Amino acid sequence: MTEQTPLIWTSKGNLPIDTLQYSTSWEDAPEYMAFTEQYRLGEEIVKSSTHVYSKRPLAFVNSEQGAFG
Amino acid sequence: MANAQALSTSFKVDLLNGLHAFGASVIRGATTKDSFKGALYLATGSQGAATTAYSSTNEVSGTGYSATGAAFTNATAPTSTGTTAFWTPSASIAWTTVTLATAFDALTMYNDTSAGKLAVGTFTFGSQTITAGNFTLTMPTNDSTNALLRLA
Repeated sequence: MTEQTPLIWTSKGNLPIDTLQYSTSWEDAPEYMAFTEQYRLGEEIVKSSTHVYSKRPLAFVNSEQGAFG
Repeated sequence: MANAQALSTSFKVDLLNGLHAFGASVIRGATTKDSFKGALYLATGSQGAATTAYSSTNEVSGTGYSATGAAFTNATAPTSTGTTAFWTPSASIAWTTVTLATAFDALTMYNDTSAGKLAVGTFTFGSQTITAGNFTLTMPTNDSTNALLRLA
């Protein structure tokens, strides 16, 4: 049976995932929430992804109807 | 039942559907809905309320990113609950396997069908860089209190 090493695509090409340091972080701001995951090879970031959840509308209009003068 | 002064809620939905024109408008070639896209902008840019249309100025560039951005999925028509009309893209907008090395913090949504690529609005988020990875903007719940576009 052949032992297979899982690889992951990075800025250095396909690297064995076990050789990388994996970390995640969250940022919770009033307008958004961001989840970032990073893979480092030593001190260098070789893969990072971010997923942002929008908590604020692109537009919000308080529509009002004027009265006759 | 008494009379009450109010904007019609249906009017707000109609605005989202482009059914009223109080000023000079355009002749629409079809009754189909327009296509909307989102473009990413560098943190050094100046997108905002004064943005009137898509521009490549300060747009991000990098491996896997095409100028003019990506298309929003629009499978759900504008609707209303109570007196609030609203609309939200029906799926996340995402860039996969991209490298965006220069910090960016904004997405401008614009009407890709309109001749002038007219802007809808700009959404900002914390400064980001992406390395051989994915960038995803997940949409809020499409309801009267959370939807991406709301006319209240």
